Amino acid sequence: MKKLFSSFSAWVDGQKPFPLKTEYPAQNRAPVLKDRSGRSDREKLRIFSRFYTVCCLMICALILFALLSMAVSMPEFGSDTNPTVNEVSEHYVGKAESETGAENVIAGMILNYRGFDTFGESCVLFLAVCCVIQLLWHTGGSADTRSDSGKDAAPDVILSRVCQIVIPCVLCFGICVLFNGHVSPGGGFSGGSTLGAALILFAVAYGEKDVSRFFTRRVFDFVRIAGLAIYALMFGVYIFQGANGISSDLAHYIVLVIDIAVGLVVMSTMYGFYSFYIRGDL
Amino acid sequence: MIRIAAASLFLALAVFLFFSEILGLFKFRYVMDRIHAAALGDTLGIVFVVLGVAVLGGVSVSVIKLLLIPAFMFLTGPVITHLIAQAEVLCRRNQGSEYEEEYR
Amino acid sequence: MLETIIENRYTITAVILFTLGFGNLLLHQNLIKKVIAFNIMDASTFLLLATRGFIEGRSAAILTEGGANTGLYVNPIPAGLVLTGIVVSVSVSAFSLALIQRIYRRYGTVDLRELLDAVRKEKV
Repeated sequence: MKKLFSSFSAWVDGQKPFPLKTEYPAQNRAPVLKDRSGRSDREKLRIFSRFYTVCCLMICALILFALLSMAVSMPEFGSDTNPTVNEVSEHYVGKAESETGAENVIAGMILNYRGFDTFGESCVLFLAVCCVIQLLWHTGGSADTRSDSGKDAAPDVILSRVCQIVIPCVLCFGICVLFNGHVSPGGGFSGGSTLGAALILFAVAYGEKDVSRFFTRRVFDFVRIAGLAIYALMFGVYIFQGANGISSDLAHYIVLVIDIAVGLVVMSTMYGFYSFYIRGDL
Repeated sequence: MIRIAAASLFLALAVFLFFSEILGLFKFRYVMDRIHAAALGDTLGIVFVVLGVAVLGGVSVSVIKLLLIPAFMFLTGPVITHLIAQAEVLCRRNQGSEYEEEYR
Repeated sequence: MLETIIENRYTITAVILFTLGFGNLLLHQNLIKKVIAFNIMDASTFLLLATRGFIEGRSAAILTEGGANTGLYVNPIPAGLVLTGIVVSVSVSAFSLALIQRIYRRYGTVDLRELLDAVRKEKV
């Protein structure tokens, strides 16, 4: 009992982990039950894996049956007497251009009417990048220390030549999608992803040194934090001024600014993911 | 009527091609064989899909834009195949165990 | 029976995809294949959500010269949900792949059974 208390107080003080069984003398431990069936480990693993497969298939069949019975009893597909077609969607479609300034109703909806949802989603993206940096960041050389890992290889000729044609097209398309997000399909997220893909292609084809000349760690942090801060500031105004606090003329510009901020954040996030996975550093 | 028949013929052929691609992806055991199977869908499969949809849609601006998709795939598909094959050659130490090397 | 299937074809496809992804998630022992199965489940959810907003005979929710006539456009709300869902799916996949890379660096394997073996041996 005294030993228990002394080990507990040592654990509270942070000196050593709380032992449950290992430090007790062998006689005080409960006797180990011998396996009565006498099967070896390998056989038990095989039997268990078959049992596991059967159980998983049964669970999947159960889920399939439950979801299918839900699926056929849903409201009719494509009819306009659905419960989901109500005054909310009519207000969004009817007033989107005048109140948010976006002809793309969905962009106006996610950046203005349901802007807090998008704010939470940007926070999720920010958090994911922080976690990836925390897990994978290390300087001082790549983790791959084999001599034939290919990290010093010259850029591939075929890839370089084809990317001379492809990368400008992808960049132009990405910028077009990003800037036209409020009048045509697109917006911050899809435009940002396309731009990030162009950056990744550039890094793969021409080496990371060229990209890290302008895309340093500082730029990366600044873009991420500034994007989220702009978003938070703009919607902070909505919190304090009320839902119609910003006049609708100003709201026309807000959609474009937030779109571009979100697009830059997503672009740097995509490139950051690629760079941290490959090299552990930007 | 003949438009729908032609479009369904093209789309059925495309489905058959994609099915053979996926069958090859699952059944072949070596990476280089799977690359051959995967190229089926990216080339002729996409062309048949686009042709079928173009026959249904008639001649319009969006259909002409649709023809850019196979063009892009033809430009980038072989590059991707080349990179995968290069990675496989660089990473596998004993090539001879998977197939016989032939020296001419 | 066949009419019900053809009428609800999108929902049924989404449900079948979801179950396939879920089965793959449970049955594969490779961690990366589990992440891929997770993405399949996400894709099926997006299909289900995006097709709930469709209304027969109307076009997409981009305002054209017809003006803001609500009888011309589909319901835009499910599309907004899908946008949020896609970003969350990407974030979850990125984080789990980073974890898998660290696991590989530490234990040298990505197979679940070998991992549990190695962890159990380490604890003893």
